[in-house]
Amino acid sequence: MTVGVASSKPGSLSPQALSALLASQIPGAHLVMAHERLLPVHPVLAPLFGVSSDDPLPLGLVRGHTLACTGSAAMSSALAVLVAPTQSGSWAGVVGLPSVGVLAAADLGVALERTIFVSDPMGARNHREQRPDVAAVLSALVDGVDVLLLAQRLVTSLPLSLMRRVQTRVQTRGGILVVVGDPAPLSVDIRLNATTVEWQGVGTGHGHLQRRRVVLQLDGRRRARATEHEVWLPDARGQLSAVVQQSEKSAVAEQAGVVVPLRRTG
Amino acid sequence: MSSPQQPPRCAVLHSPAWPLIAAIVHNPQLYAPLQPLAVFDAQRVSCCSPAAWSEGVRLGQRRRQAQGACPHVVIVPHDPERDARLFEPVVRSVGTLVPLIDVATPGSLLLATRGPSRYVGGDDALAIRLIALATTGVNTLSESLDIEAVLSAGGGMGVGIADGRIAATLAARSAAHRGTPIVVPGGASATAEFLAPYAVKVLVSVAGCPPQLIDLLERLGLRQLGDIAALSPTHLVDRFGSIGLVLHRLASGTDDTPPATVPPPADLSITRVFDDPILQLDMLVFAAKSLTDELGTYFHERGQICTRMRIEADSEHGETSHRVWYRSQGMHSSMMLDRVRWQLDGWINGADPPSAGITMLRITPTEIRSDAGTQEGFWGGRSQADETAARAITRVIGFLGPQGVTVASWNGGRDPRQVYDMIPVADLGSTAAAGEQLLLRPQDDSSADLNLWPGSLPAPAPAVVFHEALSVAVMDQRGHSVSVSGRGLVSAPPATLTLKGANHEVVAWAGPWPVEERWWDERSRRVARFQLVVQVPDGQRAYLVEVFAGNWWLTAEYA
Repeated sequence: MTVGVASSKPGSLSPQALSALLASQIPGAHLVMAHERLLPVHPVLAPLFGVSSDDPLPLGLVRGHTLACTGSAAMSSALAVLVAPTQSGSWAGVVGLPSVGVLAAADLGVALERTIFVSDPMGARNHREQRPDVAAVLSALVDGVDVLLLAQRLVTSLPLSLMRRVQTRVQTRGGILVVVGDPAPLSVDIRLNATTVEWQGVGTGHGHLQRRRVVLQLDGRRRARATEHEVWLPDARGQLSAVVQQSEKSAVAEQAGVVVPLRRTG
Repeated sequence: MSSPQQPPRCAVLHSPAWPLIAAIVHNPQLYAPLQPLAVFDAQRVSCCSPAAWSEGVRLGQRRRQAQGACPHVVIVPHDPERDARLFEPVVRSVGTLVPLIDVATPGSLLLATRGPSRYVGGDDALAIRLIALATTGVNTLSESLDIEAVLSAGGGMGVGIADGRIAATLAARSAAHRGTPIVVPGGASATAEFLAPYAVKVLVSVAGCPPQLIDLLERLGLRQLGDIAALSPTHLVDRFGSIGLVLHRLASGTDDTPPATVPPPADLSITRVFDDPILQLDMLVFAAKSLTDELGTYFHERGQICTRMRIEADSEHGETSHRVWYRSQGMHSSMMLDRVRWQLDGWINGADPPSAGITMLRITPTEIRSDAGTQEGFWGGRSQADETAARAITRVIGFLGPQGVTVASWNGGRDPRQVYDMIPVADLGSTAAAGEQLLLRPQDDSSADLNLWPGSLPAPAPAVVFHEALSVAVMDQRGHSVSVSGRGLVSAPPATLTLKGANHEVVAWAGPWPVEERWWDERSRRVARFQLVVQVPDGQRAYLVEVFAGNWWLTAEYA
């Protein structure tokens, strides 16, 4: 069906105006723009996304997208992505990542009662000693859960055509696919790169790891600009929190106060 | 309102820890009757032997608590199919005396006493006869074992005879503890007197009352069945509505039908005839699945649930297997299928298997009630997302097997690898109150529980925990391997970490934190843990490494 919107260029309209225009042209249609089908994000991650509905950037994770988490804090940032959706009632599936730190996930706030851990379908053998149908496993999971966390090793070892089919299915179903690591040659919609700036709390033989300052960078196809944000991931309680610039000195001073160097005695 | 009829007189044969008897008989080399044994279902002790009980193991404990009370407790795997298969000879042996037997669970069966009592000469004689028959049944499983010892490991065999299912079940439970059968005299007053001292909590397991209701009763100060029976039914109806009347009847023993039972339609029976006789259990169960699914959908659409059903199977040569299954909390289609499997497994793989393939399978629900949501499934309160996720999980389990899909359950421990246990979802779904058993991290008593683990690492926790530790090398400035002395002192500050052939400079480190676990037995382990922050080309990375017997292992990464 062709809709006559020739009167003005669609690109020059605000999303609301475009939506209203289309709704007036298609009688009885309930229009939901792609960027309005969103999954929630953690409040601390919000600055990476759009701030208002006029913003060309979506306000959350667009359903149907594939997200790749890369960098030295890839696993933590992938788990941070799971927090808001699982807390708001969505299910998450973690596939082929037996090494995921469940305690870290729980501390970050992932709702474990809605998180299932699925063994690597490539390495599994069913009761007839056959390799299970990986495509069937993945599509069953895509149908059942909103957020699917996949290991990079799994994604790159599967045929590219199969992963593209999975991506199409995710788009139809309206979930999101999160790959921990770089899934090249598979193309992704958004890329969340987490670079460690520094670890705090540990000295030479004293203290313990307390918090990590991480720069998160969000970029991808069809995004107007790349966004950057500095966070503590994890902070001293294992959670995700924003870096507050002003209290920097006091935080360091406070931290210096609690470190008790161990000395060899006796 | 007409006064309810006195319920029929029943006998119940009950073995409190049948899974233990089944395990000992099934594998006598592995389990001895005098050992402390315990079965864990969904991470909680579901039954334990008297030896374990005397050491402090209690029902409902977590594995670690049980092992804390009794470190040498032997864990018997939870296997309902083994229990049901090995219970079949007992049912068969009792079946030589009484034709119609309800099997409630493996380890517990119920029969009407009217005929058999008169045949053997009274209830007392019947009770003794039932014990003898059950013992013979267990004996046919194994000649070499000391049958008395085996039975006592399973908490004995109790027989209770009383008016109504509830009184008989409670009598049988007490009889198993006491070691002699309990026969409650007939009549309404004697039954009420017998029931009076029991805690109201028993109504959950014997009558399928919702736990919330029992909780309310307890908070109102009605702690024993006698307290409820002493009240006037009018007052109970005032306070609780129609369920109040049912409660009064249950507590005074004048009625033992579970609340809201309705008789099923007469023609509600599903039969499947096989043109080609089948002898493989898998194929039969697969065929039965369509029957139980059909029944489950039928009941689900009407908001009902089946509490009692009859399963019949005929072989080509005319042999039949015929059992009645009862579950007071009701059976969903998967539970019906479990019972079909138990019955057919016991028949086909039992002592007296059919001589030809099975040609007919029939399931007849004989008692149904409205499904008032007395039990929450594993998913708790259900939303649309939960429903679709549950369906997806079932499908994935079908592809990957029961171990393929797991959920995390709080376990506790010093090692990040132990803090959460991964339990197969399949293990949770099959049990009745799995939702309550899925232990998440204790939120309200977290301080109390976490303090149980002195020596656990402070937050934050590592985001990557390697299942199999990687072998690494940690060197000091001069290139010697760093070691930790018996008194917990480091030979020299770590300077380089060699991981997968690459050297990384250690910029900060903390430790050693020695952990000495299980020093009292051969599983003892003495390690020292370090946190290392190393410089890599794209920034810093933090690792948790441990030194064990002079070798360095990378156990987790703060990724």
